[in-house]
Amino acid sequence: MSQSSRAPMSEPSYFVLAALMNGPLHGYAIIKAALDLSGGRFTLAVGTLYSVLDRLAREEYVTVAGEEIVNGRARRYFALTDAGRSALQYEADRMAQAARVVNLPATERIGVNPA
Amino acid sequence: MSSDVPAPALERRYRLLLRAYPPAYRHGHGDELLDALMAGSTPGARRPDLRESCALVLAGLRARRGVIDESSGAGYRRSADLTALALTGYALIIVAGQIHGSLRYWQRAGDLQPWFAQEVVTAGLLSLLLGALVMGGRRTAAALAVAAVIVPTLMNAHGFPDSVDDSEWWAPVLVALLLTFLAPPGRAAGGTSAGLRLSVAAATALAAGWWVAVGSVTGRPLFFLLVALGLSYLGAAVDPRPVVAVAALLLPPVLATAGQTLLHPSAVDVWGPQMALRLLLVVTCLGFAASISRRLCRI
Repeated sequence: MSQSSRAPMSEPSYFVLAALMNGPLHGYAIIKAALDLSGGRFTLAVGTLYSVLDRLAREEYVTVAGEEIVNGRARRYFALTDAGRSALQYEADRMAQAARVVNLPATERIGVNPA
Repeated sequence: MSSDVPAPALERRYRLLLRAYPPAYRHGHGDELLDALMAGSTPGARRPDLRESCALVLAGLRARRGVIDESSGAGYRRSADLTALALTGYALIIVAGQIHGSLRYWQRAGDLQPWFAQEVVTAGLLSLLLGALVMGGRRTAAALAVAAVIVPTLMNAHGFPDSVDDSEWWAPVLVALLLTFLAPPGRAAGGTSAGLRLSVAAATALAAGWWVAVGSVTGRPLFFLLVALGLSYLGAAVDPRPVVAVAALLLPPVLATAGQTLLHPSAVDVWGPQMALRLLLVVTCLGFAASISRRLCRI
């Protein structure tokens, strides 16, 4: 998909990818990292998280980096792929550009003519 | 009570909620989900968090439907399959109603009407078409849909569906044919569940309602169809495809009326408020289903 035609990313996908920027994490660690990154604003439900991870894995934005057994249960670690990092960066740039439109001083905004 | 008592109760309840997921998914990832759920639970909690429970059940049902795994193209394909199935079922019920009417006439008058053979052949072809759509044979379905339109038309003394009743089964088969041809090739992952097919079949039976008012366009139980549409809206967060299939069931009377207007341009007075309402509902439902599908397929 070309950069210009890429649809805006959903908030859960954005925070899941952002949580994986610093290295592989398991499910609950992703939820905690997303909560920290969003300043406590964004709480991912476990059901939502694994739906998002399945979809991101299908798009090859994340991959399973390893597996361990904790308390008798399998725990997978997810890692960001190059494609995932690129998609995350594209989304961050898109949002920064959108924010700039609002944050610019009124005199610097193109097409705005204060009365 | 010892401190380790709450954890098993909570775990048991989470395991119960995890049953919303398909068995294969649960077998592969159930323990992992449970691990994350237990790690995130409030210490000492005995009952799952409400928000967490809702998200879990919704995600599980979506996984069960295969909605999560499919691209927008596959979603369209499955909507088209289900819609073609509903429309063909509708046409078959209409023809069955006509046969029922002919048999009652035979009982009363002791003589079969001349179009009885045409009705039986049409019902046979539509049954085969329905079977092909259920089995997923795309080419067979397309060939049977062509035959279901052409053969009865050739058998018809007028050479063309000449009444609203005739075109009411004729038009949906044409639309089913178009959907079968236009849908992207390839089968969607997961298949369409038997429950979903049964639900759409029930809505189809209610929409055609041949035991209520055989052969009357205005007598169709629109109320039941609106109820089915309302139910499909409620389930749209899990799977928006039934909304498309049920909305398509609003179309046959509109298509039949359009066909009659084309054949007899002077009969424009048949376009009443009910037809406008049907068209408006179809457009609204398609827009709604497309919007939900886009949201579900979004990365």
